[in-house]
Amino acid sequence: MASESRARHFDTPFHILGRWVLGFVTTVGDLSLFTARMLRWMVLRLPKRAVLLQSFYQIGVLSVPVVVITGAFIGMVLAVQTYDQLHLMRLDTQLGAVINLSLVRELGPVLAATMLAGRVGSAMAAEIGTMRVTEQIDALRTLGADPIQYLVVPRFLGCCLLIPLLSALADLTGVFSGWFISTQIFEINDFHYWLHSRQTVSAYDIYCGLLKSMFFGAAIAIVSCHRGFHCSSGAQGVGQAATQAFVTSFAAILVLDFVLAIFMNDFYYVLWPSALGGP
Amino acid sequence: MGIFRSRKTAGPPRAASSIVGPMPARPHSAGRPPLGSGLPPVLELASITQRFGSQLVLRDISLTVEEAETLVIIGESGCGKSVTLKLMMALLDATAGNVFWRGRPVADMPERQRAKQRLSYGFLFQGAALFDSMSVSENVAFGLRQNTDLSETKIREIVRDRLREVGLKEVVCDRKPADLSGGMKKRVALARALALEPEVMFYDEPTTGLDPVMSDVINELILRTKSRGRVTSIVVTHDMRTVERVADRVIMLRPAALLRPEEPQIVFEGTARELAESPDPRVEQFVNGNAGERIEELSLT
Repeated sequence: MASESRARHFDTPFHILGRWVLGFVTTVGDLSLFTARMLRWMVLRLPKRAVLLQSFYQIGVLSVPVVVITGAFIGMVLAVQTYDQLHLMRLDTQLGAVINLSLVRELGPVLAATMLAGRVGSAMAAEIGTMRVTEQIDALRTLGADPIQYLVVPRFLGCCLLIPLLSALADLTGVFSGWFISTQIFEINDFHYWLHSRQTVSAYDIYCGLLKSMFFGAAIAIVSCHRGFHCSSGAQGVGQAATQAFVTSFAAILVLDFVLAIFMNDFYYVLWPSALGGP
Repeated sequence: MGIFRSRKTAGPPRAASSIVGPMPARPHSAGRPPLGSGLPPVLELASITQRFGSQLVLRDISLTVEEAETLVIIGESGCGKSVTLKLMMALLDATAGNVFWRGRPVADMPERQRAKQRLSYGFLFQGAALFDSMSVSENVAFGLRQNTDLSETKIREIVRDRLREVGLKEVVCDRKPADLSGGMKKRVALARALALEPEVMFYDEPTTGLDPVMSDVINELILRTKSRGRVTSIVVTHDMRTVERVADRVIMLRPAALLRPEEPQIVFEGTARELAESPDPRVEQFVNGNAGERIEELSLT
């Protein structure tokens, strides 16, 4: 009875909020330590080449179809959705500029990363979670392998290095599919389509998109591996870890996209102050 | 009912002997300290308490494991047997108390040193814990590839030998763990644990889920591993047949939740024969498998 009344006493909104804040701070702290341990292993000793290549294959090669389809459809949808608006203003030839700038700067990296958070992130969380539940992570430790070094470092490197490449692939297929719809279906002049694209999209935009996707890759790897390592037991626990990995990675991608957009815009004006205009 | 009869009077040759292959003596076992040399115990737990959140699993446990002995830890499910094993191997950090490896406190060792020391320990997990993504041979070779500079030819030779010792033919080498039976998985896991020639072997419920014949095979392998080079063995089980066959010393744990305030959690310590003859009703109940008053728990639900 006493414990029941105490439990009821503790269930005030303040206590619920307190527990939530404590849980959040603990998770962030744990995630930071997890990341620090991983970075330490990257300096101390990288995994063997065979282990790295296997991860790279899983993350990179097997993701190509998903990324190509995503990129192609973004380009086509952008063309279809934007054409009517520009056509009303008689700015049809600007379509290339709109599609390509949106793709390389924003939609390509973000949507490719979102798809990869679903394909790669969930798979990583489920795989590591299953290894934890079936004691395979303990087995690694008994056989002289550090689980962070063996499981997390290759996935982190794979995501950081290959997600930018996959984003570039998404950009490329998007640009091509956008061009195809614009010039072959909407019959926009090919020369002017590319002329306006070249005038609008700079190398800086492309670099920014690829740099962003590197951060997205890092976030996907860290969040998903961390979820896997903290997976609760049973099939339900593994399923939850996979879901949480995707949801948290997606949230991290959006937050990072916002923060990096501000940073990159400011950095642009640091590099080219004249772009600010004025006297 | 024949439980705990002496191994020396076991009678006709066992079926298990014909399943498993010969296990040669370890080449470097001669370098081990002789028995009774006055050295600190191989392993020691000193006043260990372990909690998971609010759940108390181990309460003030102290025990030692001597060189080349086989200690069997028994007890009801949930009494902390597997946790004890993982604490001994430093796969878990104790909430309170100390673990000593040959007299050295594990808590004072950096993780790198612990990892190095762990290489002289082998662990057979309850569910085998084979790496799903690797073949049988890759599983057995894992420790060698991770920790030695041996050539691939030598590694393949060691893998073949270890698999033969546990009674598995070369044809299983390319199979994935998912394609193996429970008994085969346990034997592959044992081959993997033995690949690095450990001085201490931990067995977490080695016969659980296996048929009686395969259980006997595993028991035989535990005995052979022990005789192979004075390997110290710690076995967690609730299979009384395993206790009978392999134990030099038996410890029985009682779930912390059932203990009275002053009651020690280790309710029995002695030989397998003493266990069979123990007048303690808690021990007798476990050995004979009687639910007794525990059946009342069903009415509570």
